[in-house]
Amino acid sequence: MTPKQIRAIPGWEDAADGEINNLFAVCAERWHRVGAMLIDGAKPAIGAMMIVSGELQTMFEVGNMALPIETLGVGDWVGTVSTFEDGAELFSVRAVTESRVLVLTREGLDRMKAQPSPTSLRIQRAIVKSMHSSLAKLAPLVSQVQRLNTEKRKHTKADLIALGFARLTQTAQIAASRDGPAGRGVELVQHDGVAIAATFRAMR
Amino acid sequence: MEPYRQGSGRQSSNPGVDYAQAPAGSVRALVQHTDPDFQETLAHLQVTPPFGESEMQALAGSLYRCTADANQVILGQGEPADTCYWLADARARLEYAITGKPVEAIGSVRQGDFIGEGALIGAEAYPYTAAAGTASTLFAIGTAQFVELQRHAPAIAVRFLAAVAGQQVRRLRIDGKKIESFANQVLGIVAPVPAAEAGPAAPTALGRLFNRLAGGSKEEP
Repeated sequence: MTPKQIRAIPGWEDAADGEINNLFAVCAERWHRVGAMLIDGAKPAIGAMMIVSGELQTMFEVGNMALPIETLGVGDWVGTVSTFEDGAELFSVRAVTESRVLVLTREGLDRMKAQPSPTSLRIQRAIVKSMHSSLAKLAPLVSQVQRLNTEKRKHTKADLIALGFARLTQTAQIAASRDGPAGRGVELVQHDGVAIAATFRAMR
Repeated sequence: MEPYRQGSGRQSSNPGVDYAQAPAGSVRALVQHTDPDFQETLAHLQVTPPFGESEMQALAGSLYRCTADANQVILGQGEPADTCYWLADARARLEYAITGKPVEAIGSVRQGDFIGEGALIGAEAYPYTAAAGTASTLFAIGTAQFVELQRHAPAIAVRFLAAVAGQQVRRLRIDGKKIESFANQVLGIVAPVPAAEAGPAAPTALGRLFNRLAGGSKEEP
């Protein structure tokens, strides 16, 4: 990955070479095929991921149903929930197109917070922006769920469909399966950190 | 009660800036870093590494003290996001309005929480309405003040944003759980109990036999 590619990302247009080198020093690059599951909502993500190219879809997966939340593009971040706080990510993330991401682990994030720099400021701003966008997307859904919960009747799948849930396709279900080939569509292109490499091996 | 605007929630009546707290001769730094409310609210943030004296001074200098009456709309859904509020002594409810449907409360916030954080990152509009639950004291930071803080004190801005991000994570989890538990209930899925809460599985007769064959203790717990 080159500085020119980073400067093509919204929010990084005026980044100095030093800032980009700092970014490369704390992040690992990963490439994902179409349909690959980058994050399983039931598990913690391996780190926060900035989309460098391609499109990702975030969704809730419950049983054999999925609720698409938003389609994210270059410059957006995913995997921030479990990177900031222990626990599952909640939102599953799949590649809509062939995608390239930069992965920032929790250790990298803590290091950036402890040693504030223009790079960490840029990253924090982008993370807050992405989560703000997710919260805005969730607000109408939460509002509808609250309303449904106050209705004194038995809810059915039709209510879930009205909310935006759809049945997961068989391929997606196989990919979502805990024992399935999730992660096989992922290739490590380059890494600069032992921690990332170790996590990646564990996932394979 | 103010009328709801179509599809965009209630209109805010901006919380009043508390000029009584302004030091004599100053119209800028309405909050002092020694202010007990500021200190207490800051303690809720759990900033790491903690702010030093001069950093607290710089942060406080970017804030305005505001007050809001009970039920006063602090910020309105769809209004331009130009101010982020930090609740000092307050409880507020978050509401969301969909055209033609009654407004729903979608969450609540309390002391130490932020609302309208979109103002810090250049968002266009507030995605929800926030109304004070009680007579409240809030600290406000405008978009321009935060831009200035980022320029002159990026180390403060980074940690401030990290604290905001921490709160966003918790809100995303709460919102996510609401949708997940509704879907689980409809689909009849029993949510798995976290491992820490599940405790050890009760031994079966066969398990006890294997345990004894493997040389384990005959005594049962």
